[in-house]
Amino acid sequence: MTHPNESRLALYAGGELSLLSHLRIALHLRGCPRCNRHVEELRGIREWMRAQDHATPAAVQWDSIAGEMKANIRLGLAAGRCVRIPEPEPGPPRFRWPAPAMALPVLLMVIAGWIIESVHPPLQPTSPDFIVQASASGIGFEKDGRGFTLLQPREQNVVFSVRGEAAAARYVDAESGQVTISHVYAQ
Amino acid sequence: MSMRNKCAVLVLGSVLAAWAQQAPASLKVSLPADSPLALLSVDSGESRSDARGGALVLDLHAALTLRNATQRRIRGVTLLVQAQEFTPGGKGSVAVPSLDVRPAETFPIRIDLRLLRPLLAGGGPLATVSLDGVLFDDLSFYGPDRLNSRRSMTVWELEARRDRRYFKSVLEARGPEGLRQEIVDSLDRMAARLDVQVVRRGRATVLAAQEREVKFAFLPIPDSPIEPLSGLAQVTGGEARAPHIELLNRSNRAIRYFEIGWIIKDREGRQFLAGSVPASSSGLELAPGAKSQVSEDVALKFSRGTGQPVAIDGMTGFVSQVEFADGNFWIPARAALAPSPEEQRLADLYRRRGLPALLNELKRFPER
Repeated sequence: MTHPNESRLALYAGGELSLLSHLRIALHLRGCPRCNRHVEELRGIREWMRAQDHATPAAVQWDSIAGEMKANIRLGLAAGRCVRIPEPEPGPPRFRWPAPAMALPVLLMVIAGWIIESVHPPLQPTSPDFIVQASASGIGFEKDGRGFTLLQPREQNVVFSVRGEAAAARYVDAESGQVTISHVYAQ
Repeated sequence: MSMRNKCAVLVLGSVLAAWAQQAPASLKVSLPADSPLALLSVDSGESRSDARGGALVLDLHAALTLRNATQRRIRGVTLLVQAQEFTPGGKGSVAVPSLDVRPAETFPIRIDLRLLRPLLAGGGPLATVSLDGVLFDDLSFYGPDRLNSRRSMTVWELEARRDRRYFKSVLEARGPEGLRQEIVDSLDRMAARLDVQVVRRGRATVLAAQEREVKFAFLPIPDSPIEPLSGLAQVTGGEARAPHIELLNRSNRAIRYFEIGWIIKDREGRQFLAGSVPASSSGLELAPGAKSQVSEDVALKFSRGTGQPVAIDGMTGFVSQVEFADGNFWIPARAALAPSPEEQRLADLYRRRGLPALLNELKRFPER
């Protein structure tokens, strides 16, 4: 036989239980002389306390203290609910193989990179010291990404060339008929 | 910002803008006291300068009128034009070869250059023009020669004499129509040229795994003092990198300078003159019979005028000029090589004024 604990018996003795709990314990007490005897003792103590009510000092109001204690208990219970760490909500079932799942894309990328590099090697831009250019649009230099262009002569038939660190534009001046060679120097 | 500060900024900006766009640019022509040239006038009216960032861009369009102050004929003049000395883009030059200026005769030289100088470089002229060299008809030279203009102008003059002799021989052998055909061929050859980009100490953009070694073929030039023995370059697409050439001085004189002309052939078999690479450093002294190796840490990237890269299929090199240690020069015989400045001048004369003008011009010079 399972007996109610002492606190429930005390609440029963004081009439503090809910109706259903009260009926359950009352049913138990009908067949359990030991618990019945314990309840009677608790009722005796309760009666004694009531009898002592008149002996307590006038300044001490038992009912007032009891109400205040109940209010504090309810406040504590409410505060506990506020700061309670929520339990994780049940989600979808967790995957059991996170490490292989992360490694697989990495492995695929490595394989794809190896295939691409073996078929089309990557461009290798370098940082040359400087670039000398000669083209139909003019001659000039580029250094550290900054360019400088020599103005293209006004003549049409211009021969542009690069020699060493100088670029040249060679053309025949229409007015004088002279061959004119203009150089700009990188250094 | 207060109203007073706004006004100050506006005024300062206006002053700077007006100062930066002053026209004409201040151009100073400085000739030495014993100069064989006398300056008669300077017209720099079309020059201008513009501020770009911290730099001043000088667009120089000037015309100098000079007089031959000597008793010798002048064959070439090189002027040094400087906006600043040490920064790239601060220095240029204008050379005029193929001249025939008699004593006391006046002649013009046009300067069309763009140069850079710091915006706040202090006072003084924005650019100075000085004389780097004058070449006379006896191949004597005057000038400080800071730009090696003696070598350049001497080679140009030797090429000019060679080409005039050649055209005169064509005229004698095949008549005016033969000369006309020769000049038309020359114009076609000059039209078949490439854009070239030279990257020093590096390479432009290379597909490293597709790079391949291509050997040079060398034009046989029997009388060349230098015999190229072998040569190769790393080639990919339209780019040739790190040329390496082994050669032999087969003359009996020491050599201090030479250049290798570079012809490339595309996959359609067309040949283009890629340019001329100076293949020797200063201080070279190649003794008679000595072998030498020449390497250039340089990449040449070729493209047509449309920007389309040229697929290099083969390369041909030829010795284009040699300077001996005794100061004499050698140039190859004319064999469909690079058109010289004189050939360009004569072809342009034919294009503008026709065959009679070309015939008259050839008669002016004494070469036989």
